[in-house]
Amino acid sequence: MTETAEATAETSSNDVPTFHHFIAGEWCDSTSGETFESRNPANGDVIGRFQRGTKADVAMAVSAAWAARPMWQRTPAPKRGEFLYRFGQLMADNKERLAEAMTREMGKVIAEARGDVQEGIDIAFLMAGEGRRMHGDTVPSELPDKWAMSIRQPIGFAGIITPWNFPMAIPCWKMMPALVTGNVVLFKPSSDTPHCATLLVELLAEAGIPPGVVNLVTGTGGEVGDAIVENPDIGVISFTGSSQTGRSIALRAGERLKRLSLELGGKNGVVVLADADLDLATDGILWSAFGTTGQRCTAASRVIVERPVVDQLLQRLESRAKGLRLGDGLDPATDVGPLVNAPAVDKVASYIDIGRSEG
Amino acid sequence: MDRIGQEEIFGPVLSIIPVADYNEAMMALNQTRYGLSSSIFTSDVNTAFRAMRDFETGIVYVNAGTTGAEVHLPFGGWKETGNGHREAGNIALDTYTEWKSIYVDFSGRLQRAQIDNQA
Repeated sequence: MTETAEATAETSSNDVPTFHHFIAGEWCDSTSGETFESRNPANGDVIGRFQRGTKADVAMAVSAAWAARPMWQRTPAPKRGEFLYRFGQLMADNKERLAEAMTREMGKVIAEARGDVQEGIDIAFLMAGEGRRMHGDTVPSELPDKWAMSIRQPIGFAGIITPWNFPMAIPCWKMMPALVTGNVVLFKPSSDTPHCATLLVELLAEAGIPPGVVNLVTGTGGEVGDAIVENPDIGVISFTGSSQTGRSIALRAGERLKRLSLELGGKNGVVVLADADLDLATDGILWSAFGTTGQRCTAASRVIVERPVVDQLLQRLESRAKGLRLGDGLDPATDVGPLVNAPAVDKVASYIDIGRSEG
Repeated sequence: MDRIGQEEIFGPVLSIIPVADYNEAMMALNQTRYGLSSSIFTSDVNTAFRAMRDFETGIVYVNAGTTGAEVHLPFGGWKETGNGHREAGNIALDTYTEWKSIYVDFSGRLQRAQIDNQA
């Protein structure tokens, strides 16, 4: 069994473990000598201390990944896929432990946390299969005695910058296709969910992914995220998060002609027509609006209703919304967990005021 | 449109927008700078297909809410939700790969594309 972050986390006198970066297959400290805390939004408990990464840490992770890159690219794609199968199976074996850690760190109710882990498992297995597909085209040439085809090859090095709202699914959405196609990875998770990220990387290591192929550096967007975006060796950036940060990344990545995948804001709407099944619509709206406490990028925040059924729908929504139980997501009776942190609470409260003032 | 109907809140807050008919609903739905997910509840199959055609989002649900993506279909949004790339599905490979077109000429002579094969 590979040495794990949990096993190597140093526990201080007050039982708060300290976690590490993962660079070149080793769990290591930041050059900053500083850490930050991740807290449980339901009760404020400190989950752990995490390395406050620096530009120098990113540079070390980049050299480690760059050194591993030729070996990983030459590993046949079906073999790369086998590492992903093993990782997906390890996630499945550890599903409950991962889900509980997620609820503790970012608050979503335990049933949804299990779903988040399951999404990670699903994409790991899907992308593992891509190792044996990864189709290109073989087409006829317009000239005799000439062969024509096209193939995919890895860009080389992926910088993965992820949010806290799907702290296991989204990193897997990004890392699994990056890895199976032969890219090395530098992963910077949200500072609200570094523990979830550490647990994932621990399982990637346990799955046998060679040292240097996946590297984890925790810390702020301003320090670690910017260093990733601006590093010339990192050819592709995948970012999910706010529109504001996405625009800033796009400007800098554009200047360097990097490949960039952005998943930013939403303002998702549900249309309810007069001929709709209103009970079904109520179920769908409540799940979409209040699941994960409204903190999904696909969360519904607008309901567009044909006038004849406005009152009936509102009545149903109000009575059902009042029945939702708020609380700690680890309690299976809880319908809606806490918002992720204090700034999120302030932001939501301010929009309730805006909504009232706009009528 | 006002701020509550336009800006992402990222919390459990819903605004209700009454409309006269499908066309007005579709226009209201599309009247945002984002385009990730949308849904329509209706019992009329023709209207459902109109929505599938008209809604300017990367994901459309019929008779289900706006959440519930599965990993083997493309996930991502139109307009300012993103920059055109998709996650999940086999299209996710596009983000992380370059294409290489390869020509192998086994005729043993110079063959000029667009020239030697023309009448």
